[in-house]
Amino acid sequence: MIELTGVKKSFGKLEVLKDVSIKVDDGEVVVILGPSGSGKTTLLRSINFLEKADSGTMKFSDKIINFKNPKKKDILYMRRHTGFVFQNYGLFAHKTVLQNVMEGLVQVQKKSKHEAQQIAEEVLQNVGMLEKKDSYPSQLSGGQQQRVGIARAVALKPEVILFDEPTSALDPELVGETLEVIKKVAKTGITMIVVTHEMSFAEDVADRVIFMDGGVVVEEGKPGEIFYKPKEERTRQFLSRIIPQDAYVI
Amino acid sequence: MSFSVSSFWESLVSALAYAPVTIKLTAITFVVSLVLGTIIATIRYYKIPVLSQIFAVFVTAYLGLPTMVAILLYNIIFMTCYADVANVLHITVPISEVDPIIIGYFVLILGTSCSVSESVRGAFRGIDKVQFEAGYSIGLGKFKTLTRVIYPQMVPILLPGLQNSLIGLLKASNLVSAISVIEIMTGALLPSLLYYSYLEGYVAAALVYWLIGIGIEVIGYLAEKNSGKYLKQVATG
Amino acid sequence: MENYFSIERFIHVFPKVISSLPVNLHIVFWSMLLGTLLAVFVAVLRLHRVPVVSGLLGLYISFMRGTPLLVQMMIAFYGIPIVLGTVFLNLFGINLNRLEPVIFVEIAIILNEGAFLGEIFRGAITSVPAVQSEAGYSIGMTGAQTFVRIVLPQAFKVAIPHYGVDLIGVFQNTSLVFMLGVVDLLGRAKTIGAASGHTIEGYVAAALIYIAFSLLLKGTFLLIEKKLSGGEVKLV
Repeated sequence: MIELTGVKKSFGKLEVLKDVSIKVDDGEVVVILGPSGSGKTTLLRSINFLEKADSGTMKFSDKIINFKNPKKKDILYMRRHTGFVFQNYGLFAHKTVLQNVMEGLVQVQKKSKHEAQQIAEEVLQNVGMLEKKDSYPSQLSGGQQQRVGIARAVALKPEVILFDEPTSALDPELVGETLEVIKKVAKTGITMIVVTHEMSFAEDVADRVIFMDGGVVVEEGKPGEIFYKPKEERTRQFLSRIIPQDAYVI
Repeated sequence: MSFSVSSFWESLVSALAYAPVTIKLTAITFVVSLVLGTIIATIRYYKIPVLSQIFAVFVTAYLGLPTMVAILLYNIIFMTCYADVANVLHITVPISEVDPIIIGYFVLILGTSCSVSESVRGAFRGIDKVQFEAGYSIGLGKFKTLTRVIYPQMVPILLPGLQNSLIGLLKASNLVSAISVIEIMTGALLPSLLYYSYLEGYVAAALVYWLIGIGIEVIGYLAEKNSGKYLKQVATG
Repeated sequence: MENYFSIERFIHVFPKVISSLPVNLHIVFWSMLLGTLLAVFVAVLRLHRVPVVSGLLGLYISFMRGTPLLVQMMIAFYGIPIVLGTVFLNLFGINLNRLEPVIFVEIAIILNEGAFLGEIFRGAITSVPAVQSEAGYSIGMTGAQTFVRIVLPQAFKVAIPHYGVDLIGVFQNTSLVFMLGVVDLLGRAKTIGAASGHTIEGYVAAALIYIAFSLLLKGTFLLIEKKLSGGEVKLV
């Protein structure tokens, strides 16, 4: 239900996306893997226009949006129908956990404070952060902040949630709990596009894996295929450099 | 030492009687300048074409104009042009009935807006870019992101600077005395006109200004205590 | 437009007005020089937290920062002859009432700068992390050595931008001195205006000179800051 075609993006002379096309169906969990600089984060951020792609088209539900000259209406539409989880949590520093989650519900979806609070508390309960609803982000650990970030996105019930390397900024001990929460979200059947390095997560949860390198899609397929029977040499090289968490060679 | 306590006292009472003039001038100017200064800074931050360049040049140059020069200059322009402009706009009020404090407001608002805009520009630098993105990502448009996410986070950053600006403004308001507005200083001197001894008047004026300044510092202190609670980091587990 | 503003009159008046600029610069120079010395004194005393003195200095700083400069100048002008008149007459044979008003102006500004710069210096010195002094002591330097060779240079870098802003402020504050009869830029503009009946051109000239010179000072300080920090400039 999201289809990107021919996306191109350059930063000055550096071509970061060199004609990328991907398709994500309703309810699919798609993981995008790739080395730094492969363009995966830029691609993700183009979807909700945190980056502005130079050219290409996006088909979202029944809307067709041209990246070259997107209409302001369309940009706002995408931002209101997608959720985004930031690598560095991106919580509103001056608002409590509860206020962070309620903000979009009240200000964007125009729900009453009462209704918003109910929804927010339910979602916070699901991510295990209800206890801390009156805390400020500066009082929380990275893992806790990220869970709130996920709650904030989920609470708005978007059609698709975009995750930008959700665990890359976390201390290793905190990665596990955050991944558990993301898995939980995946189980609800919502469409997700996740940019990540976490291979075992991808194996567990992804319906499909896309491997990007140097601004193009190199290969895509089911996790099992990509991880154990990669067709492309570049994929093989990338995978060999990342040691899977459960592989322990004696 | 010839310092007459009784004439000092008279001057003090007279000065206090005119304190509201100064306080009103200062307070209204400050509030208006906060709004205008923030608008200017925001326009410059978003690099809105034409306007940001105009403001950049204007603010940079205008900050070089001392308040006293501005007051005298605008006053003379006002007095010279009033008759002709009033004719064009069909204003029937004669110039003698126009309160010169209007010029004072104009001068002070213009100057304070410029310095506030510089403070706010500095505050923008203290806000993490991700706060903008977080606002956009949940669908808040630019205006709502600014008013609900960015500006509130600027408050603790701006408070010390704004407090200084406000005290500076209080002192600058003294200069409207140069265009026949009776404020704290000229108010304090009214009794002196009878006695030829000005020192007591000026000391009384200084005292009243000082007290108001201390009041501002107290308000500022309380404001700083109550804002930025969310900035304090607690050891995390 | 002839009645409002005449380019001819402006061109005629400009050189006369700018010829009084040295008066303003003279005031800035001497006030900043002596004011800086006083400020160092004040800062050091405050930093050492000498009991009674610190409190008195606190009061002094609060007064200088909380009252308008014009009022301070007037208090100096009327008050100093009254308070010190007899002392100076008997001890030095100087009649304070005969002194040029510019002296009182400078005294007021010097006292002002002692307070403002004093706080700037104190802030700059305290901003140098304690670990810097500790490092100095740890290699055997004395307190004085550490202060002069380690703390002061770093504090200097921090203080320079604020010092620059303050100096430009002093320059702009000289716009008040005409109220005590000093013939500076504005004073000259006023006398020309009174004599010729046209004041606008003189005021415009003064305004332009203030703006241009302030920008000049600003630029100079930016260059100094750039040189000191090897390329990085912090905008104050």
